[in-house]
Amino acid sequence: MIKLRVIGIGSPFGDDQLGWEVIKLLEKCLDLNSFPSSQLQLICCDRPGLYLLELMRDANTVFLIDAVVTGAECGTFHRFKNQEIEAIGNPLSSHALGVAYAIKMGRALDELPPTVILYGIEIGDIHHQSRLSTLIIQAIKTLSKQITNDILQCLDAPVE
Amino acid sequence: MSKHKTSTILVPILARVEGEGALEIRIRDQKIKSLQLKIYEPPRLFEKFLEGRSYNEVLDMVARICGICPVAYQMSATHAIEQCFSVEPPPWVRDMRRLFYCGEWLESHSLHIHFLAAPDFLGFKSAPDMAKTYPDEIRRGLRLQALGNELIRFLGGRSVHPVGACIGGFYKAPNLAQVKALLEHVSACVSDCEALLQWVATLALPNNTHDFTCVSLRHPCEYPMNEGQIVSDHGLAITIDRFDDYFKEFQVPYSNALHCLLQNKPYLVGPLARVNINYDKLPSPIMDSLSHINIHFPSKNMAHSIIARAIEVYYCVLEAQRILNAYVYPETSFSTIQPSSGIGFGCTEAPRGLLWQRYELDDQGVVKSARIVPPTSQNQARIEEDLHISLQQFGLNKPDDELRAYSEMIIRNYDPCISCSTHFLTMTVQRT
Repeated sequence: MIKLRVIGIGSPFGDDQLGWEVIKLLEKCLDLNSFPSSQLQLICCDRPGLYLLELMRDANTVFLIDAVVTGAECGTFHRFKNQEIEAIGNPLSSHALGVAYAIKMGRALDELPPTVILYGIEIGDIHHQSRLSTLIIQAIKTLSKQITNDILQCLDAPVE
Repeated sequence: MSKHKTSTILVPILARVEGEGALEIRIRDQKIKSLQLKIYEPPRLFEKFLEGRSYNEVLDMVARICGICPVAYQMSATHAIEQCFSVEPPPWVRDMRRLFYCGEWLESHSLHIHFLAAPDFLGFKSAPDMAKTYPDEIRRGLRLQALGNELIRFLGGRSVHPVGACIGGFYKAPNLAQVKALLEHVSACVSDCEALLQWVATLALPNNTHDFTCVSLRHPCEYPMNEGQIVSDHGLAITIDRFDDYFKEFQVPYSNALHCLLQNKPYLVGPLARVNINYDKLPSPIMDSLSHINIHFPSKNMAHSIIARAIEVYYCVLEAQRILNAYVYPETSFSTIQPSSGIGFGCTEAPRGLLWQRYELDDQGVVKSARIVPPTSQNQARIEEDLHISLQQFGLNKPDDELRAYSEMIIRNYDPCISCSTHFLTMTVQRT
């Protein structure tokens, strides 16, 4: 059983790739490099749909990082835990089978890790281009610092 | 006061990731006065995007047309371009393309059967609701869908918008260790396929039987995927380059997508049409299974589409097993390409049916023109025809919610891109 798996969800389009960018920053973080893969795993995935259930398998705790659209101001940070995730919409998902749907399915099948936390950043319209917006680039840096601390806390390591 | 009673059922256009759809039905004196299915498909734009692009950019571009069936768009395009260049890929490439296609059918059909269609027939609002009562069946769907994704990754590098295919073959050949691991997974899923077929046969499927024309590819030696003639169950049998002689695309004022008719009549493409036309090409284990269930093909009951998909899921697993068992590491994984000018045609069987493409290239291999006729566009007229008949039979005096749910179920049998969501029809009713 893996203690903590952090999954960056996204697509190559505009701000929708923010989940991948947070993972890239976490991979460069020296504080996290010392943990073996049995304790911490960092992965990226492209619109996994129900495959997210496979990606969460055998982990005690899963952190998901994704772009979110709830109608809040662009750049707003969100944090949803376990069942709270099911309440968010799936406007960014392929064929509507997004994170919330996968979590709902996982709960129905009793196949979810004990703790799943979704870290989201509110984005605006997805532009079909490869660049991130300036606002979201800044938000990614802030979120990666917060998640680093949460990872250290989760793994009982000293938090800066 | 008018003695006529008129009602309009409006289904507003909804934004979707892979397409947009809407349905508008006008009812007068308990008869359908007009019925319009509006689908907005991206391939029309892609045809223009492709102009001026080199042949070696085409596969990466067309893979972006659909998140569920990128392999189909890549395969029809590669066959068309190879015809332009007079390239005949070797048997290894031919086999791998079938394997690639098995992954896509498996992934798409498993998703549709378990997560979109089955809740309809079992009376659940959604698949997560169904999972509470049918957890083993849902888990089986997840396993089969995951296997489909694994097959696509095996050759495509990734399952979403794969990048492994090139004109002439594949950039890289999987090694024998990868083949062995995949073969174990494939073989482990054979029993799931058998169970799936038996299970869908137990569903209480409505009798939605009409007379209509089925169209699919047909190959003399195998169940069709990449090659064959275009055949109908009403006597049509043509080579793919003669598509325009018999099929006519045209614009309807209410939809961005072109309609397509076969000799002025709607027709069906997709799994049910394929099974109906190619039933005799199914391998004996599937024939044996079908002999134990009381459903016979050819069938004109559109509700039997779910059975046809289950048959094709079973076929894909057996076919993948056959191909992987015979796998030999090739000397080269693609044919050498020498660009030349010409016109080429590609027609393959996407999960949702016939996908026809035509490319005109210049002597440098740059696209001068491209045409893409996707299956959902071809099925539009048939869906409208089906709704006309089925809603009338169902009873137009039924409450709006029932009409909407029934319309959704009818449309979902065709698995168009707009069926991706389980509840895509937000209906407004005006009765006067």
